[in-house]
Amino acid sequence: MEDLGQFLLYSAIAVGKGALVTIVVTVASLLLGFVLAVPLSIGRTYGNRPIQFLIQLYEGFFRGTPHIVTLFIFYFGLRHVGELFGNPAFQIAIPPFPAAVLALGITSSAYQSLIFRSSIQAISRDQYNAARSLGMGRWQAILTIVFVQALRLSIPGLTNEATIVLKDSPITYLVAIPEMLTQARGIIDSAMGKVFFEVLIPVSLIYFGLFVLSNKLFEMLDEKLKIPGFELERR
Amino acid sequence: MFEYFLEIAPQLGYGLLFTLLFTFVGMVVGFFAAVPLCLIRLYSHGFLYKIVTVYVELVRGTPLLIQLYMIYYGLPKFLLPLGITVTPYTAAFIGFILNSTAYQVEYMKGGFKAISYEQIEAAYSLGMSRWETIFTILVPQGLRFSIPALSNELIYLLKYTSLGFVIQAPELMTQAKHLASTHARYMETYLIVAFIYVGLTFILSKMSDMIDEKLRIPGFAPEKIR
Amino acid sequence: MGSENILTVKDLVKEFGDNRVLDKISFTVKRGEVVVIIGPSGTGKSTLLRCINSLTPPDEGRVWLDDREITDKHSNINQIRQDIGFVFQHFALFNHLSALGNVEVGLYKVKKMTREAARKKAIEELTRVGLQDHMEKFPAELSGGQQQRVGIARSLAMDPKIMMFDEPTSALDPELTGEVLTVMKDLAQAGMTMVVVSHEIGFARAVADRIVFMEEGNIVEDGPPEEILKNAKKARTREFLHKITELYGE
Repeated sequence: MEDLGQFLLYSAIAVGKGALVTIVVTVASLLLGFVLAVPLSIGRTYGNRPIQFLIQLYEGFFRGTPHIVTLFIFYFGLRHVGELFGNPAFQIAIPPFPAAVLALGITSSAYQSLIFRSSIQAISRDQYNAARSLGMGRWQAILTIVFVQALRLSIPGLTNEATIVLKDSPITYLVAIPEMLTQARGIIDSAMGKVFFEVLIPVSLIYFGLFVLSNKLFEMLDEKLKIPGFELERR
Repeated sequence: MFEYFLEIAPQLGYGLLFTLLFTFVGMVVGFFAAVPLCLIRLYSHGFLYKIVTVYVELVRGTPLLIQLYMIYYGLPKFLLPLGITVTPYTAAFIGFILNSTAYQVEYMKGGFKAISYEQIEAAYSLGMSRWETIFTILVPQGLRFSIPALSNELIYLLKYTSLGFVIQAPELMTQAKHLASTHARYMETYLIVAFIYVGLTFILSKMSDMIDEKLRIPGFAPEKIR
Repeated sequence: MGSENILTVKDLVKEFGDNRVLDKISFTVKRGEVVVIIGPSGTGKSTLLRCINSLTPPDEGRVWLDDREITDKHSNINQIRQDIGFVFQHFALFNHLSALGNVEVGLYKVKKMTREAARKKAIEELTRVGLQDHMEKFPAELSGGQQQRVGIARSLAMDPKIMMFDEPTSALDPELTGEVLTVMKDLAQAGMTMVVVSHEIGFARAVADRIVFMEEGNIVEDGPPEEILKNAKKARTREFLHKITELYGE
């Protein structure tokens, strides 16, 4: 009985640590995606032809490739990137955590860019024209008038994207990130397979809890930043 | 790189077949399962409604990876004693179908909600019953409005079949990993596979644009983001 | 056979939360009468119409069509609704069906006619409202006035005993109201019993047998057009008419 108690305690701590790692990985990836997506979306809307084309390629590649493939490219692929040039010794060895965040973050940036772009397009051109006719420069008008509103409009899309990244985070177990799935597997192995659903169901529920929490946080953000008269249709 | 591609093409092709199989079966079965579930979700109350809601919320709120994991490694605990084995194929099919159904229910719900309430009133005022209204007026429009979201789902599903790797389902990603380590040519293999997925996504995207064109209700063009 | 009252409404009450939208409304409509209901917005006129055919079931009160009680739980509401035509402010056309499709669908789905018979009748009705050249078009391809005429044709095709109109021209651009009002006038002259909620005083003056003024869930006054429009008995009626004629430049 003591063993059982100890076992439960250690498992709970392990899963707790895993949950923390899940949260950190998710948030870091989302932030990276955000930071990349802002210039991408602006470039795609206002940039010249070559820039638009390049961004289109970027978006097309990272939206068209599954996360798992991207992850493997960043982690395993780069370690052997030398093979492409005939120099097998040449490596770009990225540690697991940065590789995971890079993979998830860059993929997310491609999706977030789309979200921002459709929001930017939804802000009428007249607003931009009005800003310019007040004497604002091009970039000033874009950033302070158009993009600020576009961010507001993007909140539903971002809410969705956040939950997607959260639900994609378990693939990082493949590169030994100690998030929840890794911990769960560890517990199952150490108990010699005698527990399975007992571990995975609570873990699933924690993911679900994080999912609900994330939605709630974005809802609150939406409330705080409401522009009267511009509420978006929810649900 | 090109000769390498030719060399591994057969195995990749084999994996690709399964990727496509999982995608289309998941999508189609998911669709037919989702329609009645969606109608329940929209128009009924009580017990059935609660079950469907719980199912949809849970599946959409938890990672597909975990779902696949539980099905492949967990189901046997119940089924093995009954003499039923769970192969990677089966687990993959079950997982993708259950997952896609839940998402499609949500997307269809959005499609149906876009129909103005007045049309329901108009149908009633002609004397149509509840079910007549649902099948004659709501379903034809609701499904058509759902097409953009559903075609997105198709593309997502295609990419998520790569998770079949985790349960050793013989799709494209699994092949990629084996080939990469067998030939010790990681970067090339993964890049090739990435481009295959990108290409497939592109083709599917074009196809669904065409279907959308054909089935559109005149006057209701969906917003296109270019 | 049957009394001369085709529609009888008795003590209708409807509340939305604390808001008593209909406060014991009673009135009758005779066969062939055209009744126009006027009044400030939000006073329950639309709700009244929707309570009559139970789209919004009333909280209290009873409604009869001829001698069939609509409010009776045991009556077949779908059958009764076939005899009450309803025209909506925002047309409520079925967007996935053409004009012809809209008019046909009630005929073959509800009246169980054959597709050929339904089509024939639908073509007749659409011609009657002047849309014979637009039958294959979809709602989004039609102007507001055309859409509303399809809505009227759709209801007429069911051969109803009474037609109810919920602000049929309020959602139309001014140039388009004429075509709809003309159709309605022809209908009245052909002897259809009509209950119309509207702001179109000109229409009321020309066609109505009775004008009913409603305010805050109550019928304030009810009488023939000459009386109401020229010599309304109640001050509130006169106030309202004054405001309306200013607005609409009658």
